[in-house]
Order: sequence, then structure tokens, then C-alpha cells
Amino acid sequence: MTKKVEKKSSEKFKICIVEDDKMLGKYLLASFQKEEGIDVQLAQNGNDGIELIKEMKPDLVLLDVMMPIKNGFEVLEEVRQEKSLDKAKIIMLSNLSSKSDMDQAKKLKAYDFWTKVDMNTTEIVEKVKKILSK
Amino acid sequence: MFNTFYLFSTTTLITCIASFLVGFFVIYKNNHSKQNFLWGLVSLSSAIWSLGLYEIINSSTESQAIFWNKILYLGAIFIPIFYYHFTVTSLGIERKKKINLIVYYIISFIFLFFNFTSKDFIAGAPPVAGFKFWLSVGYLYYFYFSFFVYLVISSFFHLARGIKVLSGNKRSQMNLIFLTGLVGFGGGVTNFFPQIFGIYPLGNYFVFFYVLIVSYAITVHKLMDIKLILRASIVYALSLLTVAFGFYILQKGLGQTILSFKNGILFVGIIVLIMCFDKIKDYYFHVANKYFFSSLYDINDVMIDINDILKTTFEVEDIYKKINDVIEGALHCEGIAILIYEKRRETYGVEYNNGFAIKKKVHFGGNKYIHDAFTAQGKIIAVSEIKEKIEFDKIRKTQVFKNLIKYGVELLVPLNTKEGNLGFLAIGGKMSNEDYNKDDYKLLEVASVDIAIALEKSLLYEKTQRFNIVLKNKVNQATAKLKFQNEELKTLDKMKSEFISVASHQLRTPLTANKWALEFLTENEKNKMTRSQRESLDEINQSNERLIKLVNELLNISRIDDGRLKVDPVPVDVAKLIKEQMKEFMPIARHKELKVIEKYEKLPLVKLDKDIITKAISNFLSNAIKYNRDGKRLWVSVKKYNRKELIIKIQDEGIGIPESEQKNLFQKFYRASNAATSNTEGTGLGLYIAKKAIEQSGGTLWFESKENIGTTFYITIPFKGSRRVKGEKGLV
Repeated sequence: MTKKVEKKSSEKFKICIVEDDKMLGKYLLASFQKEEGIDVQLAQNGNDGIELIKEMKPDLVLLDVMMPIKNGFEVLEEVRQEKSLDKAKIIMLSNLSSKSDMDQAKKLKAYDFWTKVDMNTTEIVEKVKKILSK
Repeated sequence: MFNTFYLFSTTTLITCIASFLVGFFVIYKNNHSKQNFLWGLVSLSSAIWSLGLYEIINSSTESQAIFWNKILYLGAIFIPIFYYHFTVTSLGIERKKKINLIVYYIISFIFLFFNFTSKDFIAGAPPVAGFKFWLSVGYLYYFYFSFFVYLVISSFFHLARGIKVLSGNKRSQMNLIFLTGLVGFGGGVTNFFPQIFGIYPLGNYFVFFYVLIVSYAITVHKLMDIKLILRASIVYALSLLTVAFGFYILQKGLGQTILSFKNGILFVGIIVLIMCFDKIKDYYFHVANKYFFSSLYDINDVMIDINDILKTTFEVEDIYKKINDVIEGALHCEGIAILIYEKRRETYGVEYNNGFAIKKKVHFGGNKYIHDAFTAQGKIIAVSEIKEKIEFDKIRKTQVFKNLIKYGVELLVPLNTKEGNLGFLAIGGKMSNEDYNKDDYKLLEVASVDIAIALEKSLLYEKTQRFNIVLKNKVNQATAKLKFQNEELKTLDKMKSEFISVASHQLRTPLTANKWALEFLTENEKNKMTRSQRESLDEINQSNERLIKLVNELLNISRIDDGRLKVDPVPVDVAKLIKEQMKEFMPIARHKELKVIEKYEKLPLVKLDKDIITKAISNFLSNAIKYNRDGKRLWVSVKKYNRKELIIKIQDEGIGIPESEQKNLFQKFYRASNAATSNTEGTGLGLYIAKKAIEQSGGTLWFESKENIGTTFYITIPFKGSRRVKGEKGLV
């Protein structure tokens, strides 16, 4: 389960989590922090999320959809306008599992759309690792 | 001899001028009508022909006469072809005769060419039949003559045949064209006689008549009323003759008296005669009406026209207009109005008016008396009768009667039906100032019965139409109200859906938190826990999963029941999809030591919503495994069912469904009693959702089951796949 993922260079993979629910954020963060090859940081609202992403230039972002002030799609749109962030794979996390949201995610070039309640954190970490090692 | 020549010359000149005027007038009056245009051409050709003739006989040299002969034939060559063209156009067979027309025109132009170039057409202008200059012809001329006769006969032939099948106004029009031809060509053709037979062209005088009488009738009376023109012509001619005779007597009688006295008497006599002219004319009109022209129309013809109208017309306004046209055409009255009785107001309203100075929709007081008179008698009442007879005393004093006199109404023709009096026709005086005669009364009486019946029907129809409009408005209002309510319901419905989705999101987030916290606990702290603590942890986890599932299924049901489920079909390999699903279930199947027998036929792709069909299939597969007994068999197969459908069969050797409970299986929250005891996790919603999902995909579903032996589910799916539905949400 703790199989190391490594970048070709000795650098670590960088992951941003943008999640407003404190508990969910905490467990997600904890499960990624266990991974050695991954550098992970958490933002708890959309605005912080944008700043964090711009600053960190992550390889992958786990982005919650339903957030106050700025929702996930707004964050996604802003990030997508930044050329330097082109390589960041953005995965939308939601508990609404609405088809129209999924379609919008696709339209805004999100990498994937996951329903949180269907997965546990281990699954999320495994899936992320799989994507990163591609 | 000189006098005959003079008469010949003068009538020819008059024919020329009259033809020209008629031709000009006909084209000027309606230059859009092809018929008018062609008749104008016939007339103008005749004018050129007459001009030529006049100039020939008045020429002073032969070369001059030859020149005018050529001008004459410029007209004469085209008269028959224009008449022919006019005839076929009037009969409406122009398109059928297109080729003939082209050929005839070409031949006409060839003759025209010869006329101006060849001595074999017009050879010279020697004296013939008493004329100083006339015409001698070459052999080509005989071809032209034959062609002329052929075209005239051909025109007559078409006319005679056409007239047979026509009726009404069109028939009289064609009769008139026929008559025109007979008079015109009958007279004109005698002008061929001198050069061909050496006979004096006596018929030339008729040509004059043809233009004067018939053309006037055509233009002024729209090819309709030749009788009237004939009558007027005869009356005026007789009047003039009478006056002239008076002069003659005066002159004879005063022949020997002193010059000045004679002139004085003559002067007074002329004045008296001129003053009498009108009276004399009226007298002749009276006589003419009485003896020769007691009716200017044929009652049967007019009735046929009226019946035609009433048969083919349904709109009230149309009926008014057309009745007016027919009656006016027959009686030549100065005005026709149609007044319809309104029971509620006890008045007659002017519904149609042509010729009177009354405004439409005007109502007069005192109508009740007229109405009573009509209801009592149902006969035509003349305004003059009302003035004289005691029985009309009351009417005489009414406003409406005073108005009728003011506007010049002469006859009131009641429109009576079985139901009573509908209204009346107000007929003005005749244009000729004559009184209405017996025939007129007869016509109006007979016609009014038919008109009344048709109007009654038509007014009823109009009333129905109006009622329809009212009904339509009411329906529209009700529809608008329903629409509004529907919108409100939609809003409420949307609010409900939003509530469910928000609620489900709100529920799912803490459930997720629970799930992840439990996972964290299990991973990190399990080793430190006691056995019972671990058991409790597992139980909490199971309950949490059940809650998640329940929320998911509630969400699905709300989406399905809303009808807002999005169906997004893509080509799906159903067998492959089931195979993959089975793979996911294999760990549990192995755990229960089930023997799985799979059989998949190669089938075409089916357009289905992948999420929905997967959801449904996995439900059946999971049930078949869950409710199967350990170590038993499970069959899964996909094959072609018939030409239109494939069939999925999922058979287990499980606990089965008690027969008494089978009918309730697809109800919401229903769980079979034995299932509830053997497996506590079910929500009772899975099969309901699965059934709906299958139906959504266009498929059908049924099962066979025996308790403790097993259950087989059959699912059919049409090859044509499912319809696209633009819903908002998919299944979770």
C-alpha cells in the first residue's frame, strides 16, 4: 500500500487538496502525508486554493466542487487560464454526483470527476498514484 | 349611284372612327386583361381596314388606291387571327391551342409580307362594282381568302362548341362574341365579293352596326346585356324618327306660308319637339317594355345564377355581394341594400348596401311595423303602396319609412323563412326610371325565398363561428390558468428536487466523513483495540455503508420519479458489460463457493445509457449472488431473443421468492420475508430502481421463482436501444 512513487528526477510529486469540509480535508491530507514521494498541501476554500495552486504549481489537484465563496468550477476556470499551470491534472471531488456537473467538469478540462462517498481515502491515494505514475 | 357611294363612304369612315375609339377604350379601360387587349386589337385592326377602304374609294389615282389597299390588308390580315385568339382566350382554351396560334400568326405575317412585296397578292386597283377604284388580286390572295374563311369558321366552331357546355353569365358573354362575329364578319366578308365575284359589297353597312352596338355593349355592359343596348338603340332611333317626322310634317304643312312666319312657327315647333323628345322617348320605352322587352332578363337564367351562388357561397358577406351583383344585373336598379332583423332591438340593421347613401349597421326606429307587415303577408311591398294604402298607415309615419323614401328605395322584398321574417331587400328605382313590372316582382319573389333560406343557414353558420370564437377564448383562458398552475407546480417540483439534492449532499458529506474516519481508525488503531471494540467498529462501518446506500437509492428514486433522469445512450456491448460486472462480483461469488456458468453470444452493439444499464444489471447479479446458497450454481447468459431483442438470463439456486409475495416484488421498500431474515442489509429499493432502469432502456423484465429452489430473472433489451432523454441527473 505504501509503494513509493517517484518522479524521474529526485523531486517529489506535488499535490494540492482544496476541500472546505474540515474533517474530509484532514483525512485526505493525512492519507497523502503517509506517502513518501508526495508533497501535499491543503487549502480550505476556493480563494486560498487558487493562491496555493499558483504558488505550488502542483502535478495534481483534488478540488472539491461545493465550496462557499468560490466553488470548484470557478477555481478550475481560473487555474485553466494560467498557462504555467497547464500540466496540473485536476480531479473534481463532489458528493452531488450530478451529470450536469460531470459534463461541466469535462468541458473545463478537469482530469476526472470522483464521488467522495463512493470511495475511501486509500482508494483515492491509490488512484492518484496510478495517475501520477502514468 | 352617287348617293349609294356617299352612304358607303360615310359608314365606312364612321366604322373606322368607332372601331378606333372602341379599341382604344377597351384597352384603356383595363389594360391588364388579356381579353380586353385582344378585343382592342380586333377593333384597331378593323379601324385600319375601314380607313384603308375609305381612302381607296376616295382616291384620285390608281397608285394611291393601291397604297391604301396595302394599308387595308395590314388590318384585314390580322382581324381573323385576333378574333380567333380572342375567342380561344375567352373560352379558356388558349394553352391547348398554343401551337395553332403560333402557326396562324406566322401565316398571317407571311401574308403581310406578300401584301407589301408581291404583285401576286394585290395586283392593281381597277374600277369594280361601280367604284372608281377597287382591287384586282393575284393568286396569293386566294390563299389568304381561304385562310381568312378558315379562321373565321374555326372561331365560330370553337364558340359553338364552347357555348354548349357553358351556363349563366359566361354563356351569354360567349353568345355575344358569337353574335359579334356573325354581324362583323357576315358584313365584312361581302367586301371580298367585288374582287372575287364582281358583286357589290352590300354587307359593309353591317360592319358599322357590329362596332357601334356590340362593342359598346361589350365595354359598358361587360359582355352581358345586349338586350338593353338593342332596346335603347331602337327606342332612341324611333324617338329621333318621330321628331324627324314632326319636322317633315311641319315643313310640308308650312311650305306655302310667309317666310318669316314660317320660320317663327318652325322655331317654336322645333322647341316643342325637342321638349317632347324626352316624353316621346319615355313613351317608346314604355311601349318597348310592354310589348317587346317585357323583361330584360330570363328569370330562369337569373334563378340559375342565384342558385349557383347560394350553393357555392357560405360566408354571409359573400352572399350579400353576389346577390347584389345578380339582382343589379337583372333589374338595373339604382341601389340594393340588405337589412337583417334583430329580434332583441326590434330593428332592421343595414348589413349590406350598394348604391344608397346609408351607412352600414345603421338601425332605424319603428321597424316593428314593417316586421309585422312582412310576417303577416310575406309579400313584396312597394314604397308607393305604403304611401297609398290604409293598411300601411303606421309604417307611413315611422322614421324608417321616411328614410326609405329619402334614400330612394322603391321595393321592400321580405326574406321570409319558416321561422319567420329574417329581414328584407331594399331595392332602389330602376336606372331607366321605369316601374317594376310583373316579371320583376315574380323574379324577386322566387329569388327571395332561396336567398332567405341561404342567408338563414349562413347567419346560423356565422353565429356558430362566433360561438366557436367565444369558446376558443374560454379554452384559451382556462389553458392559460392551467399553464400558470403548471408553472407553479413545476417550480414546486424543482424546489423539491433541489431540496432532495441538497439534503442528499448534506447527508453524504458527513457520511463520507464517517467513512473516512472509520477507515483511518481501522488502519491506524485497530491493533490497539479489544476484540469487541473491533467488532463494534466493523458494525459502525457496515451501518454507515448501509446509510450511504440508502441515501444513494433515495436520490435515484427521486430522480427516476421526477422523470428528470438523464438518458444518454452510447453504443454498448451488453455481453461485455455483463462479463465485466461479473468479474467485479467474482470475489464474493468465490467466497460463497458458487459455481458460475457464463454464456455470452456475440451480438451487435446497442445504444444504451451505460450508467443506467450497469446499475440495473449489477443489481440483479448482486442479488443472485447474495441470495444464492453457498456452493450452489449461478447461470448468466446473454443471447438473441428475437429479431428485435436480446435477452439476459440470470438464474440462481437461492432461497427463492415465496409465491404469495411475488406480485409485490417491484414495489418500493418491499422486501421478501425470507430475504429480510437472511440478509439484513437490503433497502428494498434496488429492484424498484432496476426495473425502472430497464424500462427506461426500453426493455422488459420478468422472473420465475420457487422458494428454496431458485430464481431466474429475464431481461430483454431492444436492439434499437433507448431513447435520448435530456434530463438533468444520472443515477448515483
